[in-house]
Amino acid sequence: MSDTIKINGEDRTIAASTVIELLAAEQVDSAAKFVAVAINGSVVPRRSWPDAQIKPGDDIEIVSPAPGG
Amino acid sequence: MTEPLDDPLTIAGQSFASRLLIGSSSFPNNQVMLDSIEASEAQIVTVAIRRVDLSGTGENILDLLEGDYFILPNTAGCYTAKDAVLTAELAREALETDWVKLEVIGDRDTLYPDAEHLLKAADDLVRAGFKVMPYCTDDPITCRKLADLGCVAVMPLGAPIGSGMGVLNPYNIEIIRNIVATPVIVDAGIGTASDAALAMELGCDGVLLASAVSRAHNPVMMARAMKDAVSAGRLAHRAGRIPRKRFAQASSPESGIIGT
Repeated sequence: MSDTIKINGEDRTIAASTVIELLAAEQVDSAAKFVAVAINGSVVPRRSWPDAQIKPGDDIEIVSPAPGG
Repeated sequence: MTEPLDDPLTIAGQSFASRLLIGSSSFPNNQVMLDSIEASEAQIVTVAIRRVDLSGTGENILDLLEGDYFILPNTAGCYTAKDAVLTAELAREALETDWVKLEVIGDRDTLYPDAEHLLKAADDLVRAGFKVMPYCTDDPITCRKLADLGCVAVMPLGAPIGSGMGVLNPYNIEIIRNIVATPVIVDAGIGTASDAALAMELGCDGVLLASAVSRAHNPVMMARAMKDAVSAGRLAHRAGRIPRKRFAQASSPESGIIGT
């Protein structure tokens, strides 16, 4: 199996084993409010970030609010 | 016989003094956005949910708006029920709200809602406990189905998003207002103040707009105009307009005219 994951649509080499490590590796402040994460189409609640495992092949979305109509 | 002039908009048991809902997109800059929203006196402000910029996290729009407004996330940009539901779930997590402006778009050129996917997503989200405010076509049947599913409001378009064409089918909007028990909010297509006033005169409960203000030559001034238009349209609706007639009816007394 490939050791890549997809983050916000971009292929990346896996460099973290949990969501909280992934956010740190991507320089997303995990303490910042208004950030949400989904893995393979399921939201990972903030309280689960320290434990939620990242696996090769995962499709990860990291989002926050933006201007919108 | 005086009726109170204040007339709050109530959605799912929550009251809002303003019947104008405003988007936060496409302003020339953040200060103009903030000044415009303030001038509009809107309480409900919509935001989108987007991937964070992994090349550097900038200021979040919520850092500017938090605390001052009722933030309504949307699912703009979603083309399938599946993506819209996930976006709503991400919004709930990011913003700690179960309210959502549900958009499921059919194609890029018209930005028309895809009724099939919209109904599916609305059903899923209502069952998951969301307070769903769907952006939909001005089709009374779709609006009724959305209300029957448990949506807390229906938001038919006046005209395509960003078109500024106004309320293209006022007859449908009136029918929708008459057959749906939830609040009806005209969403999309508003171009100028008279469009917003017309929507309210037709009996709508509110108006949601974005581009009409943010892309105006003077957004802050247009925001104020929209505030006044929504308020005036609502008052005119409540006051009850005179019927249209084909012939004149003198407004001055017809007796005592000299030379008669």
